[in-house]
Amino acid sequence: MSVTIENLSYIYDKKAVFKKNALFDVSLKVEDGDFFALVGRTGSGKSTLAMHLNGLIRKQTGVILIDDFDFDKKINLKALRAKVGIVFQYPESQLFADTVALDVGFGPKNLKLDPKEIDARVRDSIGAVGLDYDEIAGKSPFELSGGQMRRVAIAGVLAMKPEILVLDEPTAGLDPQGKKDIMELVSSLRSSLKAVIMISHNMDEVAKYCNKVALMDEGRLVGVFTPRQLFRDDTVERYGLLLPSAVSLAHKLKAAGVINDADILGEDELVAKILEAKNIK
Amino acid sequence: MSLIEFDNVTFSYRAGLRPAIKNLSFTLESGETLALIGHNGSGKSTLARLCNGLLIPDKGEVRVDGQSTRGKNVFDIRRKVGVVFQNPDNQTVATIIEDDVAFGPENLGLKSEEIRKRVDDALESVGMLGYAKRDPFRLSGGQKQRVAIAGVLALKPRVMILDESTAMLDPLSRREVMEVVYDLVRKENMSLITITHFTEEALEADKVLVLDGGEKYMEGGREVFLKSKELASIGLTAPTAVRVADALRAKGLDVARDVLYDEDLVKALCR
Ligand SMILES: Nc1ncnc2c1ncn2[C@@H]1O[C@H](COP(=O)(O)OP(=O)(O)OP(=O)(O)O)[C@@H](O)[C@H]1O
Ligand SMILES: Nc1ncnc2c1ncn2[C@@H]1O[C@H](COP(=O)(O)OP(=O)(O)OP(=O)(O)O)[C@@H](O)[C@H]1O
Ligand SMILES: [Mg+2]
Ligand SMILES: [Mg+2]
Repeated sequence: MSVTIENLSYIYDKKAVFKKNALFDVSLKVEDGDFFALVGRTGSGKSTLAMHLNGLIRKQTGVILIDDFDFDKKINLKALRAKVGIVFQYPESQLFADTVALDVGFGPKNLKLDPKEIDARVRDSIGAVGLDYDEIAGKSPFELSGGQMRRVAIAGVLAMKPEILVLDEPTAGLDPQGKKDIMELVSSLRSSLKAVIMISHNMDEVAKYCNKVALMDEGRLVGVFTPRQLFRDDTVERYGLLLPSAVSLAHKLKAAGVINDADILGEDELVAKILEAKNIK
Repeated sequence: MSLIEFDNVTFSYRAGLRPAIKNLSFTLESGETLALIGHNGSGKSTLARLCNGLLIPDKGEVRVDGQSTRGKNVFDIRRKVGVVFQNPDNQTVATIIEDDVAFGPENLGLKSEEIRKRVDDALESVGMLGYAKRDPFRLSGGQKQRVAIAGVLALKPRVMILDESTAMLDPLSRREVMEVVYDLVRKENMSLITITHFTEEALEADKVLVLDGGEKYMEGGREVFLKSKELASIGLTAPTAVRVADALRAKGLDVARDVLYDEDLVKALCR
């Protein structure tokens, strides 16, 4: 079940004075098994693109095909949303129920699942995002810290057991351990999901977890790359981004002659490269 | 007299709940910048709310410029302590961006030309002047954060508290916005508390305060970031250069102990 987007353009407030193309002629394809990153500076159109995928924004021009959903016809939004789960930017503003358990269980309940199944999903997904069910299930979501709310919001989408998971800045505001936990979690879900699409400003995470990266700028798609291609040189800096921290450090070490090439993505590779240069096994 | 002083402060959101801040003492001097770090739920935002009198301690005292937040001068304290809270949607008050940014300065009773100037300067410095007449809700995530920061810049408070206010910005914008903030802080001799999960950002501040479960875990200068083991044990992480240096040492390479920034590691390895 792939996601195909062709020549997608979108303008907010078509009639307004401040009309602006939030998306312009974007075409891309996400395939089964992809952990697909969408990156680009603030305002480049990433969230606008993501919101199309579960019908939150109605397509204006272009083609979107997801599985057998043809966005040119009237689509069954409920069915689409059971397939495509989106964790929005600032998902904590969407928490609403009296307790964490009710909030996470809201989606499954809407699917009219068996109460036992709902309960199991709620427990599993709260555990999966690294929260303690017994401690937190009965609390009001509004009595949590920012990072705890974020995890609850992610749990709510996981409880829907979507096939395609779209995450808009899922780790912004999480502490380092929390970031790692969420990324490892999503990564481990890959076998049960068809595809993951992640919007992120965190190039370290993109380098570590994603196999493809789409770079956006001012509503246009600059291109789709592998992380290694994209982070080979400092091209990304022209698009408001920075190199992953290990790569940036590698470039400095290379410039100083400590290592011969900066062809690495992560810290482990960098450490190995330095040791090699220093003749240490 | 310190600008902000926490004197053995304990605070719980409700009776019976574990305190969100426990027996905490620290001071922030005029002109000083402080990075406040800690895991999710460690009490950082609670500390911010205690600074501007939005929350009042159960025990102990918070003093701003010598005045207890327990007193009747909350308004005076709010004009001295400007906070950008975590979620910008919750602090937008107006339907046009420039009105939203003008809200604080208007409450200070400034002349309208002065307000105009401050609003324009603030929007300009976060790169949002071109959006002045737009609806603050109809923006991208990072644009909303820029507007929220402009709102506090226009206030020119004695202390600025940024509660993860750059979390949704792209990496270069984050750098730019923090530069603007530091420039203003230095120019106006303001103080700054920056709450952040970005180590790079925390490394800019003069001092670091690390919270764990509402209590002080470490406090000091930037050398706090050399303690990778202690940081890791509470779910935080040291800068990349420190981690790489650690890994190299573990493999038997002799690397200087005080490597903190990338440049330090380059120097250490060139020797
Ligand atoms: N509801 C809206 N109404 C009008 N314009 C909007 C709305 N939401 C976004 N925009 C505009 O559309 C453009 C693209 O916004 P979008 O939210 O897709 O960006 P983004 O890439 O997700 O940015 P960020 O990284 O800051 O979240 C921006 O110029 C933004 O100002
Ligand atoms: N309004 C509230 N009512 C009850 N408890 C709360 C409330 N807000 C926060 N808490 C609790 O107080 C503790 C500290 O929360 P706080 O928001 O200060 O953490 P934080 O360090 O800012 O975390 P984060 O990095 O996730 O934003 C947490 O255990 C949280 O669940
Ligand atoms: Mg966005
Ligand atoms: Mg917080």
